[in-house]
Amino acid sequence: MGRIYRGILLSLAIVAGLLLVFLVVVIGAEALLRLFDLGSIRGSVQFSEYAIFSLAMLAAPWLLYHDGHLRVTIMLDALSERARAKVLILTDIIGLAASAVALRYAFGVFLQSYQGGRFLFDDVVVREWLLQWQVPLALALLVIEFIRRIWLALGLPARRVDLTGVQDNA
Amino acid sequence: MPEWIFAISLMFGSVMILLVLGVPVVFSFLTVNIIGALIFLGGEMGLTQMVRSMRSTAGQYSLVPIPLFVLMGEIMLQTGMAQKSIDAIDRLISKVPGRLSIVAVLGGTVFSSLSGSTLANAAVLGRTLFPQMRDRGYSSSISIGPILAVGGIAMLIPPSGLGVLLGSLARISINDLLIAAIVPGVLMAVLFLAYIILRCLINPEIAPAYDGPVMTLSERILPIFTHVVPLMGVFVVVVGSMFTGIATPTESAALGVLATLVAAAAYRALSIKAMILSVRETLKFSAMILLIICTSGTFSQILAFSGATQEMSSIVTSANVSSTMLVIFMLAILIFLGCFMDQVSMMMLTLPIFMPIVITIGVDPIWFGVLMLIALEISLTTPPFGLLLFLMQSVADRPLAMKTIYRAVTPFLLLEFAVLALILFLPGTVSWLPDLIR
Repeated sequence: MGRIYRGILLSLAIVAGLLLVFLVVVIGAEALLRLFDLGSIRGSVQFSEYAIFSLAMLAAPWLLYHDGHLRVTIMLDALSERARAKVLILTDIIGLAASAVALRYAFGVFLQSYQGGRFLFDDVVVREWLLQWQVPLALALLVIEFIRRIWLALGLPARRVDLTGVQDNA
Repeated sequence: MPEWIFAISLMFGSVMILLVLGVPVVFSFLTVNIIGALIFLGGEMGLTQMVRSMRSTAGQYSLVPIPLFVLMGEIMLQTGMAQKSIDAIDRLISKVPGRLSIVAVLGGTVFSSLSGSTLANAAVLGRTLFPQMRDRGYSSSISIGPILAVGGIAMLIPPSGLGVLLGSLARISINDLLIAAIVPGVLMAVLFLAYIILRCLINPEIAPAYDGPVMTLSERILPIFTHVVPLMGVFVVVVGSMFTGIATPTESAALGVLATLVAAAAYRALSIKAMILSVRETLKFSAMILLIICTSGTFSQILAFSGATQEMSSIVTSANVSSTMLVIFMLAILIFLGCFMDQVSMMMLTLPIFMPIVITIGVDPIWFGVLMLIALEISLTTPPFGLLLFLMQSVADRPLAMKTIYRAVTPFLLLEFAVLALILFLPGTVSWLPDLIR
């Protein structure tokens, strides 16, 4: 189960990495084509915007798994190891609550887009839900990851760092 | 209590509490946005709007240079090109007081022009030059100080990931901001060099002279032509394409990555492993920043909708205070926050209030943007919690007391404040370069 979960997070991160490569190739090609007066790539700006947004969303759960989200540690550093572990559980609970509420509305927005058959009109017309599924998926995985962290940390608070995947190489 | 005061107290107070508690920045803003949307944006409707605005805030073409500038630096780092260029500068410099400190400043400035990451810049110098300096008997003030100080220059000299972020969040021309920040960046490097030479001349014991390996003139000079000059081509591609208007900042960033890949291939340093590591490290940094940006739209929207932004602007402008004093006050807030907070959180918290004030009092937003970048750069090394201070501790091969690091960086901080004051009172220092291009 753990392996499948890690596999999902890693797969999404790989897709995010490929989107990064896509940005380099498409925007670089667009600039070169224009420089040599060879025309332009239709929808390059539009799809670059979709790519950078999707990149951030798809990498979010993988980043949390690796404890990679930026945090201010001014107070945490001043605490004893035990107190620190407890505060970290509290921060995870806050993250879980925020992600769960956002997930509820993100899923609603996705459902509205899908059922309503809405379109986005730009250089290339695309269905809106194609740009909405990333948010509920990322938030759902963030909820799972927060639950996993809290569950593991409640078992062995002092060893939280070892348990939250910081040292794994997924 | 007027609604706008309630809004500003609730939004800023809650986010500060969550940040200090150690909640990751993105979840701190997300939590406060949810509370704010429930109270000020009409409940469920506001929450739906919050989710919808995530894409429009982070999915912007102008933000694409952030990951691409970082990717450039990572490719340089992972393929060893950065290391080789610093080694080449190391060979070139000889018989100068404080030789290795000067190599740190020159190498760091060169790497700043090739990478958009302050952390990568300080890390590569800290790992490579600090052990050498310590073994040669350099005092900590002249070894740690230059590494940390020059690390932050990457924020000013393009390509600068945080410069793009500031331009995008503040809605000022990214092109002009990046170009205007070159002058203060170079000025700082020159001041650091002058300070090192002067201090080593006055007190040679802080950086004992030593005989380096015997090398012929060509052995000294040739590596500069093989490992530094070709890489300057990458800088020329990025800045030159922006300068000449051939490319937008986003396109110049993509061209910069392609030029870096070509350089790596030409050096036969391009490998699958290096590419995977580069993409992975870029993804970690960029996704973290972009997710925080996702929450910035709603945060600003709540402040605007509750009337807080307009009321703050009108109070500030109706007070009988000169625009220079207001700018100094805003910079003081940034520098104070910088002692405890990271650069992205500082931008997120201050820009929704600062920028309307800047526009209302008629201050040049590019000039203010450069001042803000310098203040943010200073905050990378301000005690007690400057990000680079901790990075230095982690990259040093032996334990370093935080007090030693604080003491070492202080003279360089004063020089950075001097540049800040210069730009503050002589705005022409930054405006001439963008004006020249226009």
